[in-house]
Amino acid sequence: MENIIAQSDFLILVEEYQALGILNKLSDSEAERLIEILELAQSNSLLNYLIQEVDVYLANKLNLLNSDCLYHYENQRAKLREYLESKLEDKLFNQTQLFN
Amino acid sequence: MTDPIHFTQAKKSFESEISRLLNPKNEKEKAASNAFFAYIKRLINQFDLYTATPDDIISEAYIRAVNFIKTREVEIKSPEAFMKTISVNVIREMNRKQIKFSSLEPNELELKVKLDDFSTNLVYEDCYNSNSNSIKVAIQKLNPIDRKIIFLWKVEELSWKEVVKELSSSGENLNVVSARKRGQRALERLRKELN
Repeated sequence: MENIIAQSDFLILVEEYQALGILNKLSDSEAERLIEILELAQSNSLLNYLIQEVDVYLANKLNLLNSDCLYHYENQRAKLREYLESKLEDKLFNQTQLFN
Repeated sequence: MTDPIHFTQAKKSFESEISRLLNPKNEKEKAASNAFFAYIKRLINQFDLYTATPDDIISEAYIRAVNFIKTREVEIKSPEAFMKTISVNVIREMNRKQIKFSSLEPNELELKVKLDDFSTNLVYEDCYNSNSNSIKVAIQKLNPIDRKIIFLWKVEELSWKEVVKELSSSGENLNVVSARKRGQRALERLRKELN
């Protein structure tokens, strides 16, 4: 069941998420609040979508999508695939279809 | 007791979503994947976690997510949002370990590594000079191959296949498994030395 959030609260939550995302540092209470918003997003598809949009906006604003970063992300994806495949070799996971 | 069939289905469903983030098949998926990695990088910066890269966080978050599905027998409705949530906790825990690990205030310690000569040209800045030499000494104690592995892996952020390729071009023939194990052991030794 979708988590019902009042329409007026959507904007507040999204603004709050954006404000948290732009901070240089996160305190414990700010991190807790971030988690609360993300937990709401897990069960509300509209909020989830809006947060994804904010993440793209923040990534551009903080220069985290420049060509250097994209190059590193590509490498990290490759590293992750290797690492998780090695987990399969270790028989830690079974019946995974992750990279088919 | 975990229902194996339900767990398998829930895990498969989760992995199908996450595979788009880790192995994007088209431009739209790639853009979403890059945005996700940028989110992790943003969090890493907010917590001053200078020892971690997004793949460190995502791999740990992924393992926790699978264990969560296994123990709670639930299907994750929004895998990406779920991974983002777990990642915050992973980064917070790593940050606390980093604080414990370093005798210096983490918010005021900045380590900058010169990329062209990792072994002899380590540049660093911090506000507490007394302990900063320990980083340089610890790195210099590693043997040259291990230093190179750590440099290629952690500083250049290459995949293990690329690390092995770079090593073989300088005459060192290791396979991916050996290089990875060697790199992990070297990193452990480095951390022990600094602790």
